[in-house]
Amino acid sequence: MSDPNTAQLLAEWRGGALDARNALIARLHPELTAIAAARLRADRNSSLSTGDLINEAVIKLVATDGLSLADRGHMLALASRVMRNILVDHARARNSDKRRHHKVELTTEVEGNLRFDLIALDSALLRLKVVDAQLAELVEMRYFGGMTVEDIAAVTGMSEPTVKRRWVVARSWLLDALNNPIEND
Amino acid sequence: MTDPELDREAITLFEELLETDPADPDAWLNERTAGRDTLRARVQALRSADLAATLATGGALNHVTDAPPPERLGAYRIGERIGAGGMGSVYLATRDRGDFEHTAAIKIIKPGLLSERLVDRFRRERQILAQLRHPNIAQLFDGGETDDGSPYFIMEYVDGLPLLRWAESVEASREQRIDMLLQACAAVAFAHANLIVHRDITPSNVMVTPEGVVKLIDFGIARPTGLNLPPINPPSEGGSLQTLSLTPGYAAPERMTGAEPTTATDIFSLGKLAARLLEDDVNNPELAAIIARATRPNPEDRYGSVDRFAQDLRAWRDQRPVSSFSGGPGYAFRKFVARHKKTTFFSSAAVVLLIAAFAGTTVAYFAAERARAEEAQRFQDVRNLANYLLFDLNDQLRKVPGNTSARADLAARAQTYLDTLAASKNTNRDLRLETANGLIRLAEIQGSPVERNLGLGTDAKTNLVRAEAILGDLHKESDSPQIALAESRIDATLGLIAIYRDNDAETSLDRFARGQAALDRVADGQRDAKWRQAQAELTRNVMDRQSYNEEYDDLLAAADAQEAFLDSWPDDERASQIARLERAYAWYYRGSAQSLIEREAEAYPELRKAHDAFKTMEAETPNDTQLLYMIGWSGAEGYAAAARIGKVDESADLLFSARDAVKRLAAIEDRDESAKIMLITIEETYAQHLADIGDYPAAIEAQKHLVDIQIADMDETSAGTDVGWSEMILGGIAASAQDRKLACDSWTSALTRFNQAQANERLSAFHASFLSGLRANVERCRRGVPVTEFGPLRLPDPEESEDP
Repeated sequence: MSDPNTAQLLAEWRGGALDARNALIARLHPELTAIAAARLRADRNSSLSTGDLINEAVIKLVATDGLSLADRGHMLALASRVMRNILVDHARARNSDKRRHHKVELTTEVEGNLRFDLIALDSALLRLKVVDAQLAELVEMRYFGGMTVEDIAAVTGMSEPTVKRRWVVARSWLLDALNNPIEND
Repeated sequence: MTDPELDREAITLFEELLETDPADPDAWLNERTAGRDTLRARVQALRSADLAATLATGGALNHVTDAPPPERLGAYRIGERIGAGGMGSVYLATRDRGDFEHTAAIKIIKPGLLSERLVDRFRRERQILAQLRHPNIAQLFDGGETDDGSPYFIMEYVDGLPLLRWAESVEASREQRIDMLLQACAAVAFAHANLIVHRDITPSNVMVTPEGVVKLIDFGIARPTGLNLPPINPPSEGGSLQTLSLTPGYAAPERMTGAEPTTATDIFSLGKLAARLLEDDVNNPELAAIIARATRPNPEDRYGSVDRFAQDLRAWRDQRPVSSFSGGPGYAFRKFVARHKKTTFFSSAAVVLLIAAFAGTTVAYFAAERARAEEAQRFQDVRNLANYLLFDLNDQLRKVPGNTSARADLAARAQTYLDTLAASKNTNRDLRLETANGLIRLAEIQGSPVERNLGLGTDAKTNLVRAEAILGDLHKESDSPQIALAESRIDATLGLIAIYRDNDAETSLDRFARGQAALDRVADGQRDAKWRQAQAELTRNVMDRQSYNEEYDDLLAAADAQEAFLDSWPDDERASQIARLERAYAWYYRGSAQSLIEREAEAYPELRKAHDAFKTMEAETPNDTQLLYMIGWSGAEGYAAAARIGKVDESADLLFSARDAVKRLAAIEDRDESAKIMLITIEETYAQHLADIGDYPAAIEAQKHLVDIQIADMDETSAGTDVGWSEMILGGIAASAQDRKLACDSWTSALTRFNQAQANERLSAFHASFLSGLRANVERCRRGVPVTEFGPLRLPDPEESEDP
């Protein structure tokens, strides 16, 4: 056990140490890449559903370290971001080696069966970040991390009703943006 | 194009709305966004997206549980559930009573989801919907309410995939995708012909069977008009909340105002559908133009019918020129040409708006749906009329330019319907106003000089006078702004007909004055955006008259007044496309007038401004023919004005821009003579430009080419003056180049053609004014006078030499 454990890294990251965050990402990355690859192989429509799997990955990672609920939330939030990067990279790679636009969709199981074009979702999120970074994070945690309102409240320090309300706003903004894409994004 | 600052405000407001949960969210929002329409629209868009998400996810925010379905409904036994959504569930059902057995789909809507209005409407329309039989429409068999009050619909069971899913799964080619769109268009056009509007065409309502047949589902019942889901309260009767039930991205913007859906609404959605399905090709300029026209914010700017949209899609697929409007030129066009030739040749223009109010078809006919419940007779009549004008007439206009008998037949049929309406002893004011507006629209199609017309000026006048009588009676009972606006429209068209057709200056002056008086009648408090637009349009037509009559002082004053008037508009209207267009026209007329009174130094910047404005607008709505025309004229005249004050170098780009615009116009309106003629006019200016910069060989070559193509285009009906005109210019260029032989040959030929035309009484006064100068030069040729001593072609006549 020469490596610092996850709880330690988390504590350091929250204290502002970017190295610690990077170490956490490195730890999450292989597991999340494996999840993404498995989903992509299994799903002939190239649709990805992530939520529960990320949860599993994080739980696997943190189980031995005995993290608190808030810590778990932070790990999930971080995993959400990592997952987003992996998926978007993947979608870009797919697009670039095919002449025809080949869509990779994200299916969220957070609610119903919404399906999103990953690249479009990603660029909408970049726009949302400019408008309201917190909303963009919320989408990331919910759609890419499959986090519950409870988890998000724990990570962000917002009350659950506020998370719910902000979530409605974020989702509305996103759907509107996806339906009215900016050309040549 | 969203502005982050605005978005932030909208987000905050939307959040506050969710938190406050006011009893009347619309009123709350109106209050909070008073005077800030953009902000309100933005918040409404978010609300609308929220509701769509709620529907799509089965009501995640408020799980309404599905009651178990009854075992049977009518003759159908209900089987397995094949779908579920926010609205309710869809079940397979088998008909096992009666003579035959078949499978259907039954959609059971959750109680309370459909507004009373929609349920009512459905009850009324069920018969019509059930009769809507088309291979591309999933047929509705029946509908009703279950014992617990849930509305249900029994329809044809479609075993297929939603459009986008289908395209993905078969990796559909472009041709296949277009084919599906065309099938969907056929279905919608058929429904429109029966006055049924789908209301909510989205990819999920367009199914494709394994055989590749499109089936549109949910006709006329597509969406609830209000939902009992927090945070939004049940809509007040007829409230604008119904708009929130639309699918974002596919619903037309006018529905945000709570307007009833029309055929134009469906055209918008089909345009969005095309954009989505053909997204690999959306950068193609022609496809982009088709989609842009289908999805214009203003319903009247969209395609007049689904068939027209489909026609353009087909043309694009077959790589034929995409041509939305290709009707032949009206009789008035010769005059335009003559006048523009004057402009470009002498750099002095009296110019016309040649341009179309390519007005879409009128709103009056769309109102037919609304009329149904009110009055059976009225409905039947308007319905016939609507079918006719919206579909047949537009189609024929598109397909048969120059086919006189077909066009006459069309107008006659439209006339029949309107006559029925006018003759009915009905005293309903709305019906009479609608009839008057129908007659006005028909008259514009028949003979408005400023749009592609049928050349039926007499009929147009008769209909306008009849409309005027109807409006006069209504006015006697009581006045209204609608009456005044309709009257001003009649006067403007009659005024234009008087100038262009009848050469009757007095009548035209009188008509425009009456049009103005009608607008003046509307009380200050009732002067809304429509009134302002009508006023600006009337002024534009007045400027056209002044330009035609060469009343330059008045024209300059009118242009100033028009600009001041536009300045007085409310902020949002001032920034609108209409205001920008009217302003560009004002600049154009002002520049044109100044150029004619030889104030080129002032004219050039005005024409340049106008040209640039038209060009900017055209970049926003590519291939808009009206704008292309105006880029052409303002560019050509601007160049001519600049050339006369020696600014050839800095104005040459105007000429090139005009040339480019008109070439595109000629390609788009490939069957439109007027575009061809305009192109020749501009090419002629270009040849003269080459001569001006001293490149005589190129100038001569260009002009010779124009003469050649026009000779090739001649037939037994040609008067020959066009060729003569071009030869006359060729002679002028040759004289400048000291090519005596070419100058004399060209002028001699031109004179022969002009003389011939005069003998056949086909030489216009404008062309005739060159005869004496032309004769004098041909005489000098015969006498052997050196080329340097030739005289001007047009000898000043006493009237024109007066100082303005």
